[in-house]
Amino acid sequence: MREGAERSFDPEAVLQRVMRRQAGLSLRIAAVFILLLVGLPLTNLYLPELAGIRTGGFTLTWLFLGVLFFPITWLLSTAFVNRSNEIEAELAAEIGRHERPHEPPHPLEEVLEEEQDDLAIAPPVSPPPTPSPSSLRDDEEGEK
Amino acid sequence: MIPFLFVVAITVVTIWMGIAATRKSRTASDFFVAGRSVGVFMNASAISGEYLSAASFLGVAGLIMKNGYDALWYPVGYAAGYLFLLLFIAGPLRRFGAYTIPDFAEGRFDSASFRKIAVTFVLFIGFFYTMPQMKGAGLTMSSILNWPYWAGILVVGSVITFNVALGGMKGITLVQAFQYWAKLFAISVPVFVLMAVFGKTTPLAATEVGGSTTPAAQAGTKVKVKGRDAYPANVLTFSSGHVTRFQVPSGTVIDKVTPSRAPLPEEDPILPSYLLNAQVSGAGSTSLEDSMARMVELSRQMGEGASIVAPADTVFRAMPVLVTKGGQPVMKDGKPVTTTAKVEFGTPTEVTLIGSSPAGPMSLDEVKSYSESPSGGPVAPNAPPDGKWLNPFGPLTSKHGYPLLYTYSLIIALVCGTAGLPHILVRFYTNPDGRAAKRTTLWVMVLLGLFYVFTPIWGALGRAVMPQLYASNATDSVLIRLPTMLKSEMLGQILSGITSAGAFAAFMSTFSGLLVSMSGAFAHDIYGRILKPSSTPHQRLVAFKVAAVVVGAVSMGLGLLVESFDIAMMVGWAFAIGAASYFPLLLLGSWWRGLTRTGAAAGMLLGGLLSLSAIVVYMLLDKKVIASDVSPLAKSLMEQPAIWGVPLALATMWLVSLATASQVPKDVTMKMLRLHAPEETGLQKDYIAH
Repeated sequence: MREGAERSFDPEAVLQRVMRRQAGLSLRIAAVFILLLVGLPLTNLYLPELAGIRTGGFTLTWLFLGVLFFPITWLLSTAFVNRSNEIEAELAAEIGRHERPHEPPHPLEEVLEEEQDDLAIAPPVSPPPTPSPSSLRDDEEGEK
Repeated sequence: MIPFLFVVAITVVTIWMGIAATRKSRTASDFFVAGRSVGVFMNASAISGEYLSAASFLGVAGLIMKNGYDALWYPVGYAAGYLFLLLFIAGPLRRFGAYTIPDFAEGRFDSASFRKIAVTFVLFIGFFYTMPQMKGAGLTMSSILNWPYWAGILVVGSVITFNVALGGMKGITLVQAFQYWAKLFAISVPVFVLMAVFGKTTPLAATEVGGSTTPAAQAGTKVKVKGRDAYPANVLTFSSGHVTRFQVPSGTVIDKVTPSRAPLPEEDPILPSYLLNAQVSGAGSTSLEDSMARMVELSRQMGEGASIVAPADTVFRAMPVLVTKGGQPVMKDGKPVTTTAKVEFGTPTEVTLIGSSPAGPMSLDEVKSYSESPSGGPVAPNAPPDGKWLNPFGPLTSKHGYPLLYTYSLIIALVCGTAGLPHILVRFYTNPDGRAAKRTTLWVMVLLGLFYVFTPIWGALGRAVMPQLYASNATDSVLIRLPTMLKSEMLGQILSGITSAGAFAAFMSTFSGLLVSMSGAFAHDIYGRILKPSSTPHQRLVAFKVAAVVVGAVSMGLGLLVESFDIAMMVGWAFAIGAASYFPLLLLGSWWRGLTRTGAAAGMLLGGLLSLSAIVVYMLLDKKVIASDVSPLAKSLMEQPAIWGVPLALATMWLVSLATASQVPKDVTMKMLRLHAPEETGLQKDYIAH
C-alpha cells in the first residue's frame, strides 16, 4: 500500500509543500525571537535611561531579561507547537488525497508557492507559478 | 556533617533507582535510547534533569553574583536555546529516527566516513562539558566537608561511572526526571527561607544605578586566597573608593603589587609602595616613614622581579591613588581617574580583612600622610561596584573593551549551542514521534524557565550578604555557603544540605547523560561500526560498559585541571563548540537538500576545530601558560568564538556543497520527506530499521 502510494504522486511536490509551510512558520517565530535577542543589547546601549527605569526594585532591563524573557519564550513556543501541529494535520489530509491517482491539483498548492519567499535556507526551486490572490489564504483556512 | 548526610541520601537514591531500573533494561535498544517509549512529561522532566548541570545549579548563580546583569544572558541562553531547537531541529530529527547524531550524519549523507567525523565531535563537546561538572563535584565536597578538590571528583566520578555502566539510559530516564524535581526543590525552597530571614525581599533594591557602592563584609572576615599556581585566583583587587586594611600571616609571599587600572603611556608611574603600604602594628615603634621606606625598598625588589615576604604583625593598607600625567590629575567624564592596589599572592594564605574607610583618590603626598583608622566593615576585594554590577556591559562583557561584540557572541553560542549538545539531542529519539518531540521541547522550556528564574535571586542575595566570596574567587559556591550565614546554625546546615544535594543531583545527572552519549559513541559507532562491524549486540553492550569506565576516568583527570575557571564559562565554551559544529550540520542537514557530505564535514571541522583551538589558546593565555601580546579584540573573539565560528561553519558548508553538488544523495527527496512529512502519510521510517 505504502509503496504503491509513493509511486502515485510526485514526492518532489509534496516535499516542497511540506517544507515550505513548516519553514515559513519557523522563520516567522524565529524572526520575533531574534528581534528580541538583537534588540535588547542595543536598547541597553543606546537607551540606558529607558533600560534603567526602576520597577519594583528591578531595573526595567533586568526585569525583562531576568524574569519576563522566560514566559515570552513559552508563548512563542506554544504558538509554534499549536500551529505546527495544525499544519501537519492539514498536510497529512492533503497528502492522503494525493496518494489517490488522478486527483486534480488543489488550489492550495499555489498559495504554498507564495510562501516560498519566507524560506531563506531552502534550496533554489523551480520558479513559482503566477502569484495567486492573497484571498486564497482564507480558502486555505476554510479547507480544514 | 548534615549537608554530607543529604548528599549521601541523594546519591543512594540515585544508585538505587538506577539498579532498580536495570532489571527492565534488557535489549540493546533499551540500553541506548530507552526503547523509545517515554511519555512527553516524563521525557521533558528527564531532559531538563539532564540539562540542568552543575553550571546551571552552581555556576549561573555564581556568575550572576560575580558579574551582575551581563551574566543573566547565561540562564536566558540556556533556556531560550531550546526555542531554536524546537523551531528547526526537534521535529525533523526525531522523524528521521536515528539513535545518535552520527546515525543522522550517516543516514542523511550515505557516508560511513562522515560518521567518524561526527563521532569525534561527540567526544570533543562531551569532554569539554564534563570538565565543569567535575569542578562542581570537587567544589561542593570541599565546601561541605573540607575534602581536597581531587577527592570530591574521584568519589563522585566513580559513583556515576558505576551507575551508568550498570543501568544504561533506561535506568537514567527515571533518575533524570526525579533529579529535575529534586533540583527545582533545592534551588527554590532555601531561597524563600533566606529572603525571609535576611529581610531582603528584593535584593536588587539596595543597589544604586550608577552607584559606586561596593558591598562590605563583617570586620575580621577571613578570606582564603590561593598561590601563584592558581592565577587568577591569587589576586585581590581592592576598592578604589576606600582605604582597606588587612593582615596576612607572617611568611606570606606577595609576588606583585600593581595598579588595578593598567597605566597608559605617558602617565606618571605609580610605585607599589603607594598602592599598598605596611605598618608594623602592636608596639607602634615603627613610624609611617620607616614602613614607607621599607616598602620602597621592598617595591624596589619587586621591580627587579623579586617577591616580598610579609613580616610578622604587619597591617597592610590598600590605598586609592590618583592617576596623574605630568603631575596633573587625569580626568574622565569630569571625575579624576583613580586606581587601586591589585595584589598578587605567591603562596596560599588567609587574609584577614580588618576594615575600610571611605576615601577619595589621593595624591602621592596625601598617601604618605594618611593615618585615619578604619570606620566601617571591610569592603570586599574583587567585588564590582553597584553601578557596574547592576547595569549592562559590566565586568564580564567589557573586559576586553568590546562589550556589544562579546554580548552577541555569547548569545549566539548559547542559543545555537543548545542544539549542538550530543547528550540532549539523543533524548529526542526517545519520543514516539515528531509531534511528541515538539511538545516535549515546549515542556522543557517551561521547566527550565521555572528553575532559572531563581538563579539571579541567589546571585543578588550572595552579593548583599556574603561579599567575601568575591575575594576568595568562590562565587561559584554561593548556593552552598550562603545558608551558613544564618544565625541559626541548624537551619543553615539543613538548607546548605538541600542545596548540596541539589548540586549533586546536577552533576550526577549531567555527567550520566554525557557518559551515556560518549560511551554510546564508542560502543555503537567506533566499536560497532568501525572496529568490529560483525560484533553481536552482547559484545557491544560489553564495549559500552568498558567505554563508560574509560571515559569516566578520563573525565575525572580533566576535571583536576580546571579548578580556577568559572563553571558557567566552561559550559559556555562547550556550547560555542557545539554551535559551530553540530548546529550547522543539523540545521542545513534538515532544511537544505543541497548539503553534501564533503560540505557538511568541511564546515563542521573548520568551524568546530577553529572554535576549539581559539578557546584552548585563550585558556592558556588566561592562565599565563603562554605569554603573548594579543590585541583585546582578538582576545574577545577567541574567548567567545561563536560570532565568527557559526557563520564560518554555515558558509563553508554552503560553498563546499555547491562545489561538490554531484555528491547529493540520489534519494535525497525521500530522505527529506522522512525528515519533514507527518507520520500519518507513511513516508517516515526509522533509519535504524533498515
